[in-house]
Amino acid sequence: MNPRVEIIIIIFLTALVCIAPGALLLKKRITLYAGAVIASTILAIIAANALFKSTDSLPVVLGITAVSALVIFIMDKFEKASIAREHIVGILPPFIFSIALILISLFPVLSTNMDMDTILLGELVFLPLDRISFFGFDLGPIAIYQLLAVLAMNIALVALLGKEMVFSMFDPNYSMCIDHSPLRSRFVLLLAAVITAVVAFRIAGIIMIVGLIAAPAFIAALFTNRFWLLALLAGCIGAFSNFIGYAAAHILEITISATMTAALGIVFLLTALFAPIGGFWAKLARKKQGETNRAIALAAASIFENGDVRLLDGNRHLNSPLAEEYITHSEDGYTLTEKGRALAQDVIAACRVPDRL
Amino acid sequence: MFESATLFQVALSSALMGCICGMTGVFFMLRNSISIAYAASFASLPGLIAPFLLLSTVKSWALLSGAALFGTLAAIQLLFFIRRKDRDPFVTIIITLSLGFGMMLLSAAENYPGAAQIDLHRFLLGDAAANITSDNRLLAWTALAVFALSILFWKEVITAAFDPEFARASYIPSKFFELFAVILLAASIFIGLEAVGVIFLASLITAPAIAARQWTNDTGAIFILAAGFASISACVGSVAAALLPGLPAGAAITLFVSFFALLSFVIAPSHGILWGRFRKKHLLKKPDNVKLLKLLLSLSGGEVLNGERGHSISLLNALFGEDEELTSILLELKVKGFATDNAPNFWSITRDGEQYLASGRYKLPVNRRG
Repeated sequence: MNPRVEIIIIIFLTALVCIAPGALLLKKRITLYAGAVIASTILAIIAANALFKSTDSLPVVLGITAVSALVIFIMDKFEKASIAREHIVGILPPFIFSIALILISLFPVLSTNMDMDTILLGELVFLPLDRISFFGFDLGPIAIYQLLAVLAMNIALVALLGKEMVFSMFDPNYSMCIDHSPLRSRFVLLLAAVITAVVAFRIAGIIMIVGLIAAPAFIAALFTNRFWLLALLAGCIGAFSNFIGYAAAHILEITISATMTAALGIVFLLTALFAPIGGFWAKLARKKQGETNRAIALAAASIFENGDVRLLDGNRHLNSPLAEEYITHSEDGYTLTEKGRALAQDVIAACRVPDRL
Repeated sequence: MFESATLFQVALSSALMGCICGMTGVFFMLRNSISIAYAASFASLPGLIAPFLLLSTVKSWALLSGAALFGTLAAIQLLFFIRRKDRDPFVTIIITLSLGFGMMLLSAAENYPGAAQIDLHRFLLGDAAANITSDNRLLAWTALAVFALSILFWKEVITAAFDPEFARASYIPSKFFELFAVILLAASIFIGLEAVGVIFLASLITAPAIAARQWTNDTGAIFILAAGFASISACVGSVAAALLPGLPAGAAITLFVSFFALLSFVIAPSHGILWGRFRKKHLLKKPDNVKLLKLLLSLSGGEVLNGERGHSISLLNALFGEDEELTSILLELKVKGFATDNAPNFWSITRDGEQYLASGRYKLPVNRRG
């Protein structure tokens, strides 16, 4: 097969693989924590590369996962000593990252085929070179099968533990009552995210893979709250932006993984600003609409209550009721229209519930 | 690698740089929004390379101003426009995606004519040589000005950080102090980025404040300790990087500063893990013990007379209930020094026991959820 087609298949699979951990981490509100745990695997990855010359065979991935379980355990210990999670997240990963970088810059022997660029950017273009064959028959890059295996794992995670996850997210107390520990489900979820990131590490590097996991789910969450729709949308967004990034990188002859992440960044920026429900402008408009509605209700109610009030001309709170014809302005002051009278009666009735009782 | 005069210059200017960065971190930590500093320092990468691509300038002040601008934009957006509830995913996404964006610009800059003149990669991991040319006098004046301003307005800073509503009510411009923190962040990015590098700058800004937080509860002491920690570790890290060729300066500084913070997590008095272990020995594990201690306190009528006015065990039995366990619980309390029996079968609470109840340390830890 053409290596370009294989790379495209790999980046589509990456988008699919990242859906489940991304969406669950977002719903469980531990994205930053998971990012810290994932970034902390770098030392284990370098050690695995130095010892076994591979970072993605099954035993090595399991070993790295065990190391990150240890990291989670240490973070838990710190958290139990009432150190803020935000602080732990800012200390432990940089510590591990700096050890890793010092090791590979002082001892280049340790890091054959694992330099700075691999850690930060991945090595997507070399992935098609690593092939699997069956009795001399070429079956394509090994990365595709690894990603398919992780996809199967993630689907199994959602299918088997989905209900437990939902309980632990929305009602931790009930979840504890029915013997589904939120801490346990968090642990399983973090380990799944780590496995996903370690397998996909060679695609985009250890930091940017966190973005590829977290961002599509977050963007999708700006549009919908329903889990299945969110997963579907996140997959579409991830695949779309990965493909656009790949195409742009191909045309401009720049690094593919960074361009993929940058494309996702642009999609993120656009949606965070202009999304119809969760976007920044939409929120601003809603806030303004709320203020207008309050002004109209207040003006209508006060005119209804107090009769012909001598309101100040040019009061800016009267602009919106005037524009929407709830009140009219004549020489002897402000009066309510039919619409305004109905609204005022409604408002007063709603506010007078305690009086009626 | 360097002569001793150069080495001294590197050490001095790194210490000043560290001092400014460390003070910045405290402002964000007091606001409980330290993740903003992480996000801002990573967000500076695209801003660092954009001036090179747009204006094809290689002057380091132009690149660093771009970086400071982008970092400031990220910080302002997170401080003023994002609710605290949404902050975590936003920070993660800003860190990772701006790194991606920056790396894309970096690889585009390599294809660019004139890229040979400047090695943009050294901005990633930091370069100890960057401090050779820095202006020590300016750095010292900046550090001194920040320090003096902060000390002068410390009361206002604290009020604005801990209770913005009250600050507004007492005519303290709380928004202005937030802006002051952001300006300080921009200055730190401008000063520190070249020597520490994009990936590790966040750690130099935040880790000293976090480490200092473990050692004391006094905000002023935190401020001074953080500045001290940051200068020491920046100085040591830079000198190590200058002496050992091939060692990235940012990584060395981060290793020192975050190791120090981790050490503080473990051994710091009254916050650290070991201290907690030590303190737990005093804790009363069983709720019944606390109940009985509270009963003894209420019987003593508030005035603790060390064993002079004891309460007979039959009275305690009547009030507390269990016959078998009562004696064993009382003996446990006696071992801990919370209750005494001067006359046989006449018990009372001690001063220690009263203090223990007042401190509230018997309260069981709340279950953490997810």
